[in-house]
Amino acid sequence: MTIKQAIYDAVVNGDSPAADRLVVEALAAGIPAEELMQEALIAAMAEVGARFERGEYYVAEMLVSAHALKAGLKHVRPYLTTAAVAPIGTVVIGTVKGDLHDIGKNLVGMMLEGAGFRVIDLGVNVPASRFVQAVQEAGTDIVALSALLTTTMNSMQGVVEALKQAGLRERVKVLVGGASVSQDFADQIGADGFAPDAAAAAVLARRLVAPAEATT
Amino acid sequence: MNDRERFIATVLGEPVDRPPYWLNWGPWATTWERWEREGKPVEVTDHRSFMDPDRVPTPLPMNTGPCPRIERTVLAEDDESVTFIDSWGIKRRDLKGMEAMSEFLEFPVKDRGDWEAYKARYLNPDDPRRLEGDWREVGLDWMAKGWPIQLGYYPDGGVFGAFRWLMGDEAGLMAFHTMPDLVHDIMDHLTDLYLTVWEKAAQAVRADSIHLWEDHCYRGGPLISPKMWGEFLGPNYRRIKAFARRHDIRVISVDTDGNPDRLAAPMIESGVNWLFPLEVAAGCDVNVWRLKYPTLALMGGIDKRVLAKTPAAIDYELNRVRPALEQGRYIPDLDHLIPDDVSWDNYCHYAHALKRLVGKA
Repeated sequence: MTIKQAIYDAVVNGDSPAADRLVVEALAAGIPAEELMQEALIAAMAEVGARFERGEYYVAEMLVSAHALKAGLKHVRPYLTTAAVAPIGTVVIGTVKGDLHDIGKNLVGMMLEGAGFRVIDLGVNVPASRFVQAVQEAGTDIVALSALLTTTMNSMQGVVEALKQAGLRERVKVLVGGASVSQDFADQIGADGFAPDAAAAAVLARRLVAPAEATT
Repeated sequence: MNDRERFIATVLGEPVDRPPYWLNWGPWATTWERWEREGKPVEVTDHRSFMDPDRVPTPLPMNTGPCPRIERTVLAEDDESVTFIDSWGIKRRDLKGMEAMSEFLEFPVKDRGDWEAYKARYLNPDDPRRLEGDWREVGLDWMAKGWPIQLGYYPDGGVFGAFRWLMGDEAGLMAFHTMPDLVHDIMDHLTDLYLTVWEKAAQAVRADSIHLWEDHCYRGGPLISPKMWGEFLGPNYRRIKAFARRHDIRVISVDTDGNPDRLAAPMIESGVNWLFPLEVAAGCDVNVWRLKYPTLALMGGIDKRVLAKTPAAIDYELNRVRPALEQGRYIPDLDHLIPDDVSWDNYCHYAHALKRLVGKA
């Protein structure tokens, strides 16, 4: 088994200590960071997402895999910067104003990271103005909004409106998700996409930045 | 039939005079405040009694949570939120004046050492303070009135639910993989605790149902796999089932939230015969569930979101669940707490329409 395959397996199986150790060994052996990123870490998280979609993995498995990814990613990230290998996009993510729920948002953030995005997590109870500010500062491609409750879902519309008012709406894609959110609701508030779960969010986010990705 | 007889017969699929009329799920605090602003009569002090619904199974007063009780301690407070230690020792933050779940900041158990200390300090099954006061008299009074009596209650009674209070969602779910022995130990001990306290109660008062608050599902399905459910929760549920059989308690219910479809089979196998709340937003259709799981009693399944629409939409939603109602083993009720976009008038319309639907005069 190659070391890249072993890293891939460690992430898919949620083995953080192995992912941590193997990535260090692989870098020391001279395997390019980008190769580890694409062929081991991102590929592994894609497999995790696929297993989740097939009903073979549940939230518990996604979490341990996401943490194994983080264990490996922390060693790879500095090399990616020096090699000027850009992430496929930047996502600003947060739970909207009035809502403190965060497990869904955290899981989506981890899956997006595993899909190759830079993720800026604004936390919970985030006002629309803070999303606008983050978009202005970060060169954002996607704004991902989470809400658990039917009533806080309305804050998502506030973020879309605030982005419009700031003249930023055309620069970013807006993704929405949460317990009561639906595709109909996403259409109604003018979001660009709705994802029912974290794995679907990663797939959708990649699709939304695909034209830009193809030109790099 | 009295409320107890009707409830048990409904769950067991036996003949009933009519389905139970329950208003189980109540409003969020902010919904209640809205109703007060909208002119709810001052004499209406809860969302149920003014409509004379049937009595829902009510837990005997007991303590199966931390004992001695952990006092709520405010750590910080400003205009927007309050940060506090709750009754399980969790550090959490609540927003003021808004309908929201807490932000959970820190949980009391992170490893084996934390667990052993917490268990020794707060989770002694034999602590005499777990059953004190007039619980026996209360139970005997409820029996005389024909009210259904329940063992187990939110937030202190769930094999997974209470485990999550100790470790949290994220760390707890990861622990199934990284610290499985600890997860087993916590869940086994919680079950020991419940059975010990329930045993004492059931010797004095006739209990009708056991309730387990788990909340282990979300819109996409269960948080853990059916295999893990079978490994970690299954043996404990079977111990609860054996206890129920010994005491002729014929109902075991689970509050799952979300969509529990993939856990239904292992739960039924382990003795569960009543599930709720079957959230429509999570894709649950009680008419489909009624046909798919004929031996399982269902409660909930009415979309709470519809109450924010029009009276006609509420009538339409109630009409939608008629097939399940006609099949039996179904208690129509909302699928979770009532959000604060629901007006007092719409709630009253719903409560009256539901009463007509089940045929309570």
